[in-house]
Amino acid sequence: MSARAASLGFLVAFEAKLAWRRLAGERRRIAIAALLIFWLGLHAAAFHGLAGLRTEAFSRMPMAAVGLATLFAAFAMLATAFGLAAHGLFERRDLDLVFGAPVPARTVWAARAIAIASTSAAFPAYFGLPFAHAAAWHGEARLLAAYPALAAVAILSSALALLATLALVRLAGPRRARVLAQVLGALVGAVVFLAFQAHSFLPEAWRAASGTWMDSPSGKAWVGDASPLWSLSRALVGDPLPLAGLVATAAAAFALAVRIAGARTRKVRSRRSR
Amino acid sequence: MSAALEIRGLAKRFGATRAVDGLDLEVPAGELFALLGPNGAGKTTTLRLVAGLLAPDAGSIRVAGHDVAADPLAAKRILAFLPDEPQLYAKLRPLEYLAFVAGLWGLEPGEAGGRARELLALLGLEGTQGDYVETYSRGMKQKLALAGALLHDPAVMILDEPLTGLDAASARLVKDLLAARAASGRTVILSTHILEVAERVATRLAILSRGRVVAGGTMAQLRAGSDRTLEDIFLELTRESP
Repeated sequence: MSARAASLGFLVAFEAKLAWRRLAGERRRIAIAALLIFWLGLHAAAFHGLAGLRTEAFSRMPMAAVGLATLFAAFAMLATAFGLAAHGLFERRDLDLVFGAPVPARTVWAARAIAIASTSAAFPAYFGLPFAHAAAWHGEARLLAAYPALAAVAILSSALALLATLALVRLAGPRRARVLAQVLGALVGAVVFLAFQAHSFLPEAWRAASGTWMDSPSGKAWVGDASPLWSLSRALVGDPLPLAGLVATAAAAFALAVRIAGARTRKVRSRRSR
Repeated sequence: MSAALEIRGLAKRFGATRAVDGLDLEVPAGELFALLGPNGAGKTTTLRLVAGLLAPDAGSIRVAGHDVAADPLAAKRILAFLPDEPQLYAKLRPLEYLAFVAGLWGLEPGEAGGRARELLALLGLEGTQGDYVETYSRGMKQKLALAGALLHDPAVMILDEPLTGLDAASARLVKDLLAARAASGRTVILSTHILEVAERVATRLAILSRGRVVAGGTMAQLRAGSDRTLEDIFLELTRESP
């Protein structure tokens, strides 16, 4: 009766089905409809808001502003991914079933990593993509690079979270690792949020000094449009080199995380249960 | 013909605790084999090691000739493992769960669907096909997990306390089903703390204490000509073992 082993596509489709079932229900269908309507509204707002801008204005977008927003989204995705990785490794109780089946552990972890990436990307995609769509509609098709860039950041976050969680298991043991991974996720989120608010907490003199520094040559080297700090946002707006670098980094991190998780599966579970 | 299960020098530690300590065991094909032992004797750990869910510290495990460490996928293809607390997906219906299990074992969907319906009917779950698993009782979940374990018609079944949560009628049904599988040449290995179940249905038994087999064989061999019950033998062995 037996034939081929379950494929990555099969497992990813199953993860998507589970996620959909968690959302779908009597009341949640109304919520989904509301989200869809709001999303269309976001498109309309983005379309209207960007209507006055033309190519020149797009090219003069301040990279620092776009970069900070992108970094905020990326760290938010990383924080979400930490929580999901801890859940996937310790709280989902179906691991006996999937690891008891003749499916390579790497395939299982690859599916889980993709599921984590998809979930962590959902929020930024929901709010960010309408603006990319509107920009494309107004002739800035390069902003559709938000799709591969967002996917790459999500995959990178997922891989980093999986690797960090496995490292925590090794260093602190499974019970502490679960709590630590969740705390780490919350900390990343909190620190990033506070960091982005820090400017408004600074005394007036410090804010003036930081403004002067940013206008200086050394300040421009650090936070100017050409700064490497904003590589992520340049990838997001379709600059080919940063985008290729981001995608390659994400692919390498994903392959490494899946390889390590696959190799360590039985050891991690050995430390976990009796 | 190779044994259905062959374990040599198996050892597994959790920190300072030796859960399995140099265990040797051989189960011929076509047996309904019961693994007995007091709490903490190493039954669950042994079964999880056999299922390839844990990595042993030492020793080897072969399932129908397949080395679990060297070729885990080949061993898992012919194995089924039912944990003591099977976790199902709350938001799936029973046929959807079984379709996922079928996919994990790479079964052809049409054939697997027919077998899934047969198994649900056999286990008395055919009237609940439209319900989500979250509405199932403990016993119904146990039976659905058992259906999943039977779906690919495994040559070797590993069941950890399979009768937990089942009512009398369901327990009888499951015992008969497992006995029939053994009679048809399949191998069933189960752990249980209910000695009466082991005494009545098992064709062969092993008693574990502190991670080692302290006695094994058929009921007649364990009695060794005396009229002692399995309970007498079990208490004597597990009390006296070092």
